Amino acid sequence: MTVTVTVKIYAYVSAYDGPREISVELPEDVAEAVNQLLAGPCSKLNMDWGSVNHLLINGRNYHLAVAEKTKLKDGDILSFVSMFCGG
Amino acid sequence: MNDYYGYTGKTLTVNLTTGTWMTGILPQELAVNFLGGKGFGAQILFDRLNSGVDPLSQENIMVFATGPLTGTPAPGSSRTVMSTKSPLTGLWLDSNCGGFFGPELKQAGFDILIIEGRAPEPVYILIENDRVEIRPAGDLWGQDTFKITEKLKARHGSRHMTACIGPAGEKMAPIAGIVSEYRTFARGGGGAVMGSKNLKAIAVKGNKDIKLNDPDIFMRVLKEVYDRLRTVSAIGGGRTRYGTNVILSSVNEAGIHPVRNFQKAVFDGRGRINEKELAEKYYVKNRACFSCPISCSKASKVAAGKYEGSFNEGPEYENVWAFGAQCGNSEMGAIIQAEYLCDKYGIDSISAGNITGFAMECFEKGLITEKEIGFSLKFGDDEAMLKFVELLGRREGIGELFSNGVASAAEEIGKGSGYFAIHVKGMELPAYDPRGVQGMGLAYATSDRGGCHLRAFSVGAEVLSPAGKMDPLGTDKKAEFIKNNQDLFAVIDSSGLCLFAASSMSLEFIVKLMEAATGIKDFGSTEEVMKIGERVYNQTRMFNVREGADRRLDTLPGRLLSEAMPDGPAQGHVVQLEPMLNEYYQLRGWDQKGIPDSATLERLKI
Amino acid sequence: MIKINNKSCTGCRICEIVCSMHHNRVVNSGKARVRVVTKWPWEDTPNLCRQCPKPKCVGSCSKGALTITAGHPVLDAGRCDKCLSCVEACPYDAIFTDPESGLPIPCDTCDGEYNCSQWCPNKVIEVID
Repeated sequence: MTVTVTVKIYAYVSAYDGPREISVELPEDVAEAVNQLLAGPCSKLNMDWGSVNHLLINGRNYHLAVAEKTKLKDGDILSFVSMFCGG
Repeated sequence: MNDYYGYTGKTLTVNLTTGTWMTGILPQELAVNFLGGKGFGAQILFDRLNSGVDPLSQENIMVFATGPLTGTPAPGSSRTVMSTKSPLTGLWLDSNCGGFFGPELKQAGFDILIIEGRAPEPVYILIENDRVEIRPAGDLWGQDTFKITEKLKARHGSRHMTACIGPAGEKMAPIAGIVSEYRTFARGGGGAVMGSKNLKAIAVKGNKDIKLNDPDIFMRVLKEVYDRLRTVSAIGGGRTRYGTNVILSSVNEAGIHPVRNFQKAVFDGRGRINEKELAEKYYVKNRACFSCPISCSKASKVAAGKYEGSFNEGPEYENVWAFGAQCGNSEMGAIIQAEYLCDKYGIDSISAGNITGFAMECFEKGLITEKEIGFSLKFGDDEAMLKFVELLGRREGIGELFSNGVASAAEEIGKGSGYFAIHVKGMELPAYDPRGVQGMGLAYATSDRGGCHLRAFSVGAEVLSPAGKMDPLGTDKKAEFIKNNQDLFAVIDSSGLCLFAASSMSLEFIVKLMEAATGIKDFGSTEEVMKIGERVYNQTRMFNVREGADRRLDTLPGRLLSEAMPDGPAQGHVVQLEPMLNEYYQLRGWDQKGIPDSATLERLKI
Repeated sequence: MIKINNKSCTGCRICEIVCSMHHNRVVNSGKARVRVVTKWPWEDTPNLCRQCPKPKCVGSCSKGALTITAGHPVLDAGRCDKCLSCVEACPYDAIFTDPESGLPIPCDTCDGEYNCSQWCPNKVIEVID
């Protein structure tokens, strides 16, 4: 079962020159969806994604979403965000 | 004979009442036990002030203290801390500024500048190496900070570094800051204290050596640090390109960007107010503080539209919030113009924006009238917003009441406005809604100077928690994080470094630099240095305890404790402060009233 | 030869800092042979010896204390009487004086290392050959 979600890539990866917002079809399962993203449409991000710490699913940390067994639905927003350092 | 390295080993005390000044030797124990900057301020203020001093009286003192790394080649070594008793909160205040003032003070030969008393007439202080003069400032009084900075440079030299107050400080507005080379000692009313002393400005120039104990080791560590900086993208890359607004969209995405006086935390104006828009349409240049490769500061200009021609250095993330989402405003040009006004009049922009949003809510609820204000003041009305900021900066009309801060204004207005006066201990809260990041609720409640996000900053760690260890909506593990972060930031604020540079370096490198700079072995140990941080944070706590503060003031506004977040990722949440606070006091070695117990004080030797 | 890309200058003064560190092992902008000049509100430029093909500084020295090596001026302190004619003569105001010794301190390129250029985070001082 696949859903259509919006993937946003925000400011921090300044060297990245790909599209900053894409609409993409992904599986419902969050972990599977992210694997597909990083192997496919977001492979250009080209960073060490082993820990996937910069991804929010509808504003919620990816790891928490996986632990909570969140299922993606149509219209969800996945955002790769910047580090929040200092002030 | 001066055996100091890193430090200059000298202090300067200026007494404005008698119009005299004297130099002193930096006590070894002070350096070794309190490090510098905030630490120096904490020890000196506790030692020299009695409780109950009126912050705007001549009894109050101002301590401008550099850190051992200020003025050295360390990245971000620009910082100086001004410590005093706050007229906004009646409690401890340390206010931090980058730019060039601190390094120049050090180059003039001084670690610390203490200002005491009150001048009979407006004056400014001129420091040129060993020569110190208290000069009449009658011709400068009444002028804005941009004019004063220009005048002093024209009069004394373009490389003289200045710190000055604007009309707000002269009128002793509790939200007045001290502007220095386009940066500000902004929060808590330092500008008002300076104004109460009839001190308009300080101008300093030096050309003495800042010596390092081991320059070879220092430069070797520095090369390593620079290599790391180049590879960390968010710090080196993102922040350089976007400034502190690199987090703007992300904070909104996480649902913690306060909107319309913390009524919600996802801003619908984001389409027009985002970091990409800022970088493409408004930023014209990067600027940096002394010795900083990150250059997070931006110069912005409005090239077209309603506010064409407006320009200023900034706007930082906090300002984009303060005059953006906080006021329901999506007109970017107005944000730049608002920040310009804050700098010009010399007021803290975080407080100013927060206060404006509060006033807007009061207006919309009918608690203050158009007649009283002089104009309609609705959320989203950018022109009214700017008119109001002018009133705050000039401390005129209704601005006189509101420039005392939201706590005072709410007390005067009554009618339940205290519930949505968003401050802690009198200091207005900045741009993160703690209902969506619970640890910040604890951080705000236990910050030593009131509602501040820079005593402990857990936003990144909570929202982007590696492996999901921390849940931003939960209270677990927050107390430990906030306690450790406060100690760490106390170290950084005492070292002379900027938080951004420091957080990209890690404490491991900071201590290596401090040891190489000063030759003090304990400074090379992260444990020993964290002990100093803990000591400093307990010292400022004791300052507040002595003024009568305890658990009752370690709280949050009614709205954040009882009004559920209406939408966004944090929907339904309020701040669950009690469990975090109980655990925090335990970890700190304070009793349940929030007072450091004797065992803790003994261990820390204060 | 050097080129100054001043539009990228952020005013950080890292060039000054590493200059005095290299020559004097201290931080002291008064001893740096490069100085950042700031024109309000935010135009920053580093100023240093441009290695003029026909150096006016050398010509101005009546004691022969300034000579050229590898394109840049070198001071023989023994011959210098601190008249500072070279400082006057430099069309770029790029010869500074040491605050302790009073001697002119023209840029010596750090013996070809150009520390300022190496450390500058924004590639403002460019060494071209």
